[in-house]
Amino acid sequence: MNSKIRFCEFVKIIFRSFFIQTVWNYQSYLSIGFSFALQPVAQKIFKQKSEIINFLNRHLDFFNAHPYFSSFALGAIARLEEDQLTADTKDYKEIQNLKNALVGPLGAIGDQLFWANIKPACLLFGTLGVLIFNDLLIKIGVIILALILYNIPHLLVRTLGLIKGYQMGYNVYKILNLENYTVPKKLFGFLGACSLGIIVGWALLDSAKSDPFHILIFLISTLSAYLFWKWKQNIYGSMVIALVLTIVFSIIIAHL
Amino acid sequence: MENILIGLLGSFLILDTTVVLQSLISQPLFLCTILGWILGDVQLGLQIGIYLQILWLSIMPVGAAVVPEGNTASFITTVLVFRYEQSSQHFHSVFIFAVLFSLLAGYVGGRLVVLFRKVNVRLLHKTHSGLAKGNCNILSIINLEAIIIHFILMFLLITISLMIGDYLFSVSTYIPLTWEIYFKYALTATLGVGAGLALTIYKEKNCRILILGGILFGGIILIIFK
Repeated sequence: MNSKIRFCEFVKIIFRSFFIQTVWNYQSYLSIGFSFALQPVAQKIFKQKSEIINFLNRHLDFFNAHPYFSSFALGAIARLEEDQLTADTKDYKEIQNLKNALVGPLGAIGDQLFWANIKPACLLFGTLGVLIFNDLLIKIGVIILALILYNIPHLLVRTLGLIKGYQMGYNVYKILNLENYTVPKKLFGFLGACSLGIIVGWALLDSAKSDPFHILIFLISTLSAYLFWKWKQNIYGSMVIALVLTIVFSIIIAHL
Repeated sequence: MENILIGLLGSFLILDTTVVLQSLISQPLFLCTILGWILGDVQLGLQIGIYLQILWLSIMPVGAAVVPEGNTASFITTVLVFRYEQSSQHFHSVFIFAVLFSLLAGYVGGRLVVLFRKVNVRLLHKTHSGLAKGNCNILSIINLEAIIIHFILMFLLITISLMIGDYLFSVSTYIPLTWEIYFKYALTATLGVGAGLALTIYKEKNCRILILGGILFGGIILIIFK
């Protein structure tokens, strides 16, 4: 197959994918961003304005995914749309079917990998650096490092996802398995959990040196926030209850 | 005027949360540092940033879930702490009340996100009609419109919250300094709440063992190096 989509189009799609969640809505979810990101493909492969409009309209149907991992779908759909040009019979239903089939895996992998592992790990790593170093420049250096540490996999997934999706077309679903991401998931999970532990150990003992009641307050706030969350799944309630409870205990301790 | 300028800055940076890029720059750790640099005390910005980061760490914007606007709330908390801790000498009490006040702003922010998503449904219909009229640039226009709408909503939230905050926090200068003792555990409590909620991310047994190991290790390196 003679590919019409070149490097230039890939760069445009990646740039536009940064806006994929801009017009997220309750009716078609990510569709506007998806259609917007694929517009350079339409402009490249179609000559007629009506064809471009049909293309954009087709991709305004429901679609949802993790914003970074949506690049796999962008690449695959770009490839399938291009393939349709040389196909004997046009079958756009197949494209929509693939999009629908990708919604689950793209959301699940992205949420598990980025929101539940990479994001907290990088933020906790940055927080730890700020906590343990005294020098301001080193502190700023560490948080810049945390930002880079996060954005390397972020940009890698956006870029490689698009390329892999384009190369594999309809078969892209074969690589979309959480088991393929076990190593980064475990590595960042390890980094996050260790960082959280060290932050707590360091900050708590540092303040407990002057006043041991800090340990009691920490335990009260941790347990009340955790238990309230388990009970009601309400983040506001967990925060307010735990903070108010610790203020009450602080007042009691002050009068002891 | 300062509220308006800070509101403009905040609503610009908050765009990174979900609307554009999503690079993490809008997280409290970075947001508070940038704000600290602009307001003239990076150290204080960093100090506030790490505690707010842990507090809001467990929020996961999964699917259509409506989550608190923790980043906006952190931005408001930081501005209020910068304004009132120096004038009143009540760092801990100002911090804890700013966090509690900002929780309300975070809730309102969450409702504004729902409103924004509903407005976006209208933008979807507008996109369909634009394409029906043969306008191929409609997607770019709609994207820009959505960014502007989000920017305005967050600008209003930050500016109005700061105006209300100014009104409420102006009384902090009259609070006796001796009351500060009641709030001296504010940072530890914030750390505790954040750690408690973070346990909801690290549910697996292995992770919890690592956290416990980390606590011991953190304590040991503190004793050795400090």
